Amino acid sequence: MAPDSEVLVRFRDVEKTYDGRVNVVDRLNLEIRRGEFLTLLGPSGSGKTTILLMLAGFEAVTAGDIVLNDRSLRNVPPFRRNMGIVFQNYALFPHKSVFQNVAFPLVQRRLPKQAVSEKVEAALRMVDLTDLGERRPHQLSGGQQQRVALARALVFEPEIVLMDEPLGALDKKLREQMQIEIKHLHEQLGMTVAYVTHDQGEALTMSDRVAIMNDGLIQQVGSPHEVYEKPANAFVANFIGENNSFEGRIEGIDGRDCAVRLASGDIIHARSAAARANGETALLSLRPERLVIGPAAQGMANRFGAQVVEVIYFGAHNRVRLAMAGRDDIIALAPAGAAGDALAPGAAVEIGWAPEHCRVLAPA
Amino acid sequence: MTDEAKTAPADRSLEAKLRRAQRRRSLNAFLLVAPLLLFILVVFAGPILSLLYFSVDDPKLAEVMPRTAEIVAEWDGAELPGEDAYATVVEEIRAAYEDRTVAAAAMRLNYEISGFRSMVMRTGRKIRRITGPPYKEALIGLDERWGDIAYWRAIKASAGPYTTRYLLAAVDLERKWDGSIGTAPPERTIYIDYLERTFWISFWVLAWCIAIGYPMAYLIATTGRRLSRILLALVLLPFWTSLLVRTAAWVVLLQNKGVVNDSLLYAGLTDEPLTLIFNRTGVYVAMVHILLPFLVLPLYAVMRNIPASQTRAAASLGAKPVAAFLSVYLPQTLPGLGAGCILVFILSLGFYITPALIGGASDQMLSYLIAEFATRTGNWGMASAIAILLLLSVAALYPVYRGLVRGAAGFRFG
Ligand SMILES: Nc1ncnc2c1ncn2[C@@H]1O[C@H](COP(=O)(O)OP(=O)(O)OP(=O)(O)O)[C@@H](O)[C@H]1O
Ligand SMILES: [Mg+2]
Repeated sequence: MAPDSEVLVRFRDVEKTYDGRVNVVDRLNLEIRRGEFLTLLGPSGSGKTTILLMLAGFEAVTAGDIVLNDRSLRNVPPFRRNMGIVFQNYALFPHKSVFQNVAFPLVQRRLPKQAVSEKVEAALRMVDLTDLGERRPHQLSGGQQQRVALARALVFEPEIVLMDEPLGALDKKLREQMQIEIKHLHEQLGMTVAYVTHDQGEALTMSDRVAIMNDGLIQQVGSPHEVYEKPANAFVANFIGENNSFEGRIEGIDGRDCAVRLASGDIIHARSAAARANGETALLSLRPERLVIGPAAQGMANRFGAQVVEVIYFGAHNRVRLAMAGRDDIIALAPAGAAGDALAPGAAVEIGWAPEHCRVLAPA
Repeated sequence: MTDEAKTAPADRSLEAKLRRAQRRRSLNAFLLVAPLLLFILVVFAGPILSLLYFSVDDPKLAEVMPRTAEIVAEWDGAELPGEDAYATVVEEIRAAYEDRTVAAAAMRLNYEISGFRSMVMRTGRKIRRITGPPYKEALIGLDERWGDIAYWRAIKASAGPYTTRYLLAAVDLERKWDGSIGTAPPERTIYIDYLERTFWISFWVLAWCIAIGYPMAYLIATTGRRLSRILLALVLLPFWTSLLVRTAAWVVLLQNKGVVNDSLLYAGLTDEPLTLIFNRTGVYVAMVHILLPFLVLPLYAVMRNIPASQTRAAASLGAKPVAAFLSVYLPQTLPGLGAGCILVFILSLGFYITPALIGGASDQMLSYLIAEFATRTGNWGMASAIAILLLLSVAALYPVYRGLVRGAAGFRFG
């Protein structure tokens, strides 16, 4: 846990149920640190939006408490929480001009006219919309509307900005561009961001920390590198990036190194984060890009003969499906050129990977 | 070549292209609506034009007594006309009496001065007694009112073939014998009163409809699916029964021994039955009930399309609930509210059955007068003139509506 002075928001044993039967958010203990970019990542229906809504004050907390700056938010109505929110559909006010939309939070705070227009101009400049102040939202493109929503949520300098899949409605190119812009804004302004997405790429590129949700439960919180390279459990391993998983029984332990025998009889050398015991069943995770094909596999602790089933061309790399150890769903990413291009379905190849790249996951 | 030089002509040709495309589009649009336009012309403009015509058409006297009409038309009206006018009147009344057409002319004259009708009929009965000149003395001998210049002026005013008397009368004015326009005598200045009352009643009906209908539409638009469907059905239910049935139902409910009074008495809220019927209260209750759907439906349609995130966004940006409602929610509902208000107001301006059955004598509206003139006294001129008055008052409301919609919204509407 981070020291209290660094924590802006703390969820304490928060639970939420809509129907009184199922907790859509359960045992939520999460802290959002001052100035960080925290992303809630999870499949549809995992409770991400619900968490944001509770933080913003639009949904009541069923049990537990949310604390902002060491003050409980229990009795603070949404309009006093001082959080900037970017909604998935932007929720721009259609009857107001862009300028009026961005000015809205300042007008509500009764700022003098002069200050309002200065701040609005600055905000519009920040998101590169200087000339569009007089337009109505429906006269803007999706990306421009997105920027207006951003400017409106930032203009009153809230301590924390909540964004619920803000880029969901944009096409791929624009989405990537906006990801970078939002990231830059965060770096420039230093505000705290709580960001919701179900796009793992977005989560990994933008966040300081990622919280991975499933079925209302947090599965893992950590830096993008941590959650990708050291997934805490099978859900995280499968949800983030591509994953080859193997199931077997531990037959030998040396510190953190384990030898795991698969049902096929093959033995895989892998590494575990936690202490494990002989005879336990173990779930292994291997990222496709860690699996090497061909001569490079020589000398690796894990080395197997395999057969190429399918090769899909992706430009920068090839995605190769392999059959080994009685299975035909092993995925490898082979860089384009070099050996990758020579692969053809049916070819017998040698594959291998280092033990430190194959993780023994914690039991669920 | 500089960039400017290159772009200028290109712009102009682009503009021309745009104009051409737009012209083509509007032509297509016109052809598309042409049949509808024709239909509207026939069934909508037609009746209005005939209404206009009936309100100025005045052929009765000239048909029955054409030469009298000619003579009085030339007479200046300053003093009693001469012998030839009297001779013509005697001759034409005699002929008309025999043809049994005199009643129509007498009726028309009676609009000018009440009692003129019976005077003409009596003259007709006794006309046989006049056998020769001087006709002036003879006619005055039959009825001395023939010596009163007011009656001759009445004939002059009825000479036709067109008249402004109905239109003027509808706004409590009349044309004096010398052509000037002044207020009508007090016993005829009832129309402006009726107009004011009609607007007043409509205004209050609208106010109540907004007060009840706005929250209702909000509830229907924002509550859960099940409840919203039930509420909507309740609002729509009255649409499925006829106006007359609904009004009759209110008579049953509101009368002194009706359900409402019985319940109030039973609950001990009053000691004696309240007078809820044959007065303004009853009219308001019934009219609001009948017109409420016209306000709720357009409002509901607009509100349903306002996502919850709008008010949430307002709150998250620091707007207190009242401010959020006034600056974010209300403006977005104005197109629906405007449409609903205009519907309710215009419909209530034309209400007839409900005030007639539930209201007292002092709760009748303009339509009541129209019905009276058209069906009871057969005075189509007056009926048309009042209908035009009603039509013009409605037309005057249109700019108000436009202003409301444009001022507030100007979005998602074009
Ligand atoms: N207003 C509500 N009433 C009842 N159930 C709800 C309500 N809102 C959400 N839920 C349920 O709560 C669960 C979590 O929903 P939530 O919207 O938080 O998911 P999410 O992670 O944001 O999903 P998505 O990625 O699809 O937006 C879902 O099972 C959903 O059906
Ligand atoms: Mg969501």
